[in-house]
Amino acid sequence: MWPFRTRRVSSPKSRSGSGQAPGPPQPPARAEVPEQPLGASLAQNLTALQKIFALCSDFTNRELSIGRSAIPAQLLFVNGLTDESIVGDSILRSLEDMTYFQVGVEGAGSMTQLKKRFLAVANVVEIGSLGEVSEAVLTGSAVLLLEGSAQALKIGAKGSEARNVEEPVTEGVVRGPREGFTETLRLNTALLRRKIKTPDLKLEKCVLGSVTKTEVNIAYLEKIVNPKLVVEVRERLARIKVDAILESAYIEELIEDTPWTFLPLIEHSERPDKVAAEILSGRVAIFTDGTPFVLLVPTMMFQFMQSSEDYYDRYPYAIMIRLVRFLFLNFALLLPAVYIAVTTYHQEMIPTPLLISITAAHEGVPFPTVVEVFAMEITFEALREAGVRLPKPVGQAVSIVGALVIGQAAVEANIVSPATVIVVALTGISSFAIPSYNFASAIRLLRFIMMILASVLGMFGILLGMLVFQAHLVSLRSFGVPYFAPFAPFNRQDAKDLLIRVPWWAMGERPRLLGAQNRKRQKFFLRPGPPDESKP
Amino acid sequence: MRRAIAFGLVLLMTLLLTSGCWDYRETDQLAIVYALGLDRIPGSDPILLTVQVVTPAAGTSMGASAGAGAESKAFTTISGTGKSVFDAISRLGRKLPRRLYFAHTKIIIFGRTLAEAGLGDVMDALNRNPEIRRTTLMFATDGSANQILAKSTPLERLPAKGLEMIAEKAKRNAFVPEVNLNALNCRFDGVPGVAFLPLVQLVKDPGSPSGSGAGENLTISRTAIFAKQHLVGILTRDESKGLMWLINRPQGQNVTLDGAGGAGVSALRILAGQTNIVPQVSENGISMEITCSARANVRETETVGLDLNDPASLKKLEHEAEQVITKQVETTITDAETGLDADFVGFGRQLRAEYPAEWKQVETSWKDIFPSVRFEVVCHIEIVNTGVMNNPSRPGAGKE
Repeated sequence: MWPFRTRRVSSPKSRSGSGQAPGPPQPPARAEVPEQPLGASLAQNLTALQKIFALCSDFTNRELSIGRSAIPAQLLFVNGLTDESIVGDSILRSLEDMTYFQVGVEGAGSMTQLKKRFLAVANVVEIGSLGEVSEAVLTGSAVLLLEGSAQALKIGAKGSEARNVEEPVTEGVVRGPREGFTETLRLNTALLRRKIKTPDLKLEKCVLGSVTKTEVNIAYLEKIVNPKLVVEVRERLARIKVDAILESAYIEELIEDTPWTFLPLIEHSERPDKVAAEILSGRVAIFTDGTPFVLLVPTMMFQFMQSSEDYYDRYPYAIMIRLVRFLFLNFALLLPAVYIAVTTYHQEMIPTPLLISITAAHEGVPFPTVVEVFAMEITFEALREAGVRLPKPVGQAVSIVGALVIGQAAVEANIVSPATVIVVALTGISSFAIPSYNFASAIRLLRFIMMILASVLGMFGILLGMLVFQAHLVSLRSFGVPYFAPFAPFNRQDAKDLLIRVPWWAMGERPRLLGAQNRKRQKFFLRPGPPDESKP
Repeated sequence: MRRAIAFGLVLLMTLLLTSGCWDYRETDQLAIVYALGLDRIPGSDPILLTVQVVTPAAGTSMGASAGAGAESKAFTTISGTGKSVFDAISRLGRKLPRRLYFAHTKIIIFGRTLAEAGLGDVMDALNRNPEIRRTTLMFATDGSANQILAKSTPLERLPAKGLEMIAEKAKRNAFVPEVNLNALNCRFDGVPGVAFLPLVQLVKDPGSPSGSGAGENLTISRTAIFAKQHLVGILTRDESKGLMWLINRPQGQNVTLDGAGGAGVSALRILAGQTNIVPQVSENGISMEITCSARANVRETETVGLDLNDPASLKKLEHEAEQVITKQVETTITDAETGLDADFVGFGRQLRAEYPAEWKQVETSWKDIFPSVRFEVVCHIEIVNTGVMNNPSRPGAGKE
């Protein structure tokens, strides 16, 4: 097994030790469509399929007659899922052309002949049951039924409207590739394949969701990834028995190690370069059709503090910005709590001039500091939420009103003290300095817990809270890998890309916990310098 | 399971709500004491406690109200009496709507009456109070602390802050030592139980009209000497400067030469200096060898015809400075031995460090032996810098 202790809730079935064989999970059977083989009669087959697709207005059947002997045939597809040009130019044109050939297609093996000789389409498969036909039609293929044949041809004609490759919204960079994943799985995997041009890059397919039949791909580099990790990923995906997978978040919550933690245990990204980099360091990516967000497992906490741009900036600046980020992580988590603790319990900790100005600012404010900070923090959360949800032009209005009303009017009316506004604003900015949005959300939640502890027990409460939080952090695992690695357990090699980012010529090895199979990333001693003239 | 979780939550809430909040206090419930003064007055309540409390609302200009009209004072001085320091604090507290908060007290001043009667009682109260910091600066005054704390200072809105800065400057220019509560404790508890405190005085400006209050300013230029926690004397300015040499803190001191050897006044500034006190015990008794060595630069010279390019004239200045410093130090020691009869110069400490066995013999009678200790002061000054020009800027001076 995967060498690390895995803590996952297994289904009762697998707990009883039935021993699922590793391998790509098979799609669960659909109960409503009978696994009934096709008959030889075209009319019967068509009636059966029309019964299945009753009241489906997008289901289309095109009547044809093929060959010299004009054998009746039906071409079935779902309008909108297929590419009009493939159906028209490739399928219909080639079937029409057959009329002029002196070749019959009657009888057994006619399907094979059609496939081999006539259809000018790349992806053609023979299928033999009603269930397969309906599934093929629903996934965007065209299906050709022929009189007298118990086989059907599934012709790949997938091509629905897709969003263009655009700049990722959630992970912007100043320098770096500007392409982002889209909602189309094949396009996404192509974007990845374009970056990693090796057959080692495997894209295992599986289908999840009994109703949605969402295609999911497990991507990894065979020579780098720990094979046990792939097995673990397959098994966890095979466990999923839900009706629908509409976003990768569904999968994320179904395969986590610890379902009840605040912290995200699986990272996601919509940047092909980031996914490629993680795959290259031995991680497994889970692509889900219908969403640009790709899951990356296993995840360590420090990944959430790293941006892909850290690797594109010059490394001294990248180091500085990473350290600043960690400073602001602490601000985002603790600043309001420390402010509450210090101004209501430990006034001796504030420098005297600052205490005098804080006291002066709080003079005449009707609420206790705790109430003030909580009210402002919650208002800030509302403003942030409003800014995210509303249409862009309105969102700006919200932020202006928020800044004016909350920031200035409340202070001038002496409802909140200016010091509190500064603290809340700084905290807000700090939480935006965390590159990962979902990690920042977790920190925001924890901030409120810290604030409650600080308002009741002061610094002592913050200390207790941090102790519990730290203990929780080191107890978490993501796909069996310690969440707080490479800090705990510490690894010197991995620490090169942790709080700091060493230049590329110094990053000789892959992360210890991931690339166990093939640790050497590149040639050592790559540091550029003047040529050694002493050697010829 | 669900009941267990609910029970745990109830326990957690109880823990938070019953154990927390007991020392909760808002900043506007506090009267921040910036400076504390202690005097002794006749009567049944001998301790007069004076506190200088920050008035926070006046500290910032809130809207239009602060700018117009009479400028509100940034501080309030309140005093109260009591049988002891703590008694005085609690009685004073009854007069105030806010709790007296001593964690930000920067300055403690002992009035002359209290200092002469002895600091013993109040030192206990100051050291026992958890809010008072060990880094609080300690001062003595030759008047009453009450008066000093009521006086406002120019430039600073908080007079105690002004005093703090004056004391800092006095230390940096090495004419009066800086002493905090911890150092004072160490001096009192150590050998030979003698301490010194900077002396705050109210002095009249030369040009101001006579009359109470107006034109008086706070100043620090002299040092008060305590033996066995009693005020025994006050050093002059020169003696204070000599003391700075003896406690090994001469950096920044200005040495003014009155031009005895030449024709004008010069001033040197000590850049770095060190004093070594080496005790010698012989059958003739105890003697001390004091070596002051320092590097200095020239800050000012009006000496006509003095060529500072010439090493010989620098030597002349150096020599003159050495004489001045030697005299200062000698005066201080003489005053300690004969005038004040208190070993604040550190002879006893040095003897204990170098000759522990001999110290044991003289420890009990040190007070009698100290005045007869012989001493010799040697001074070495090296001028390393003459500023941005060489010779005096005087027509004709230094030409050719």
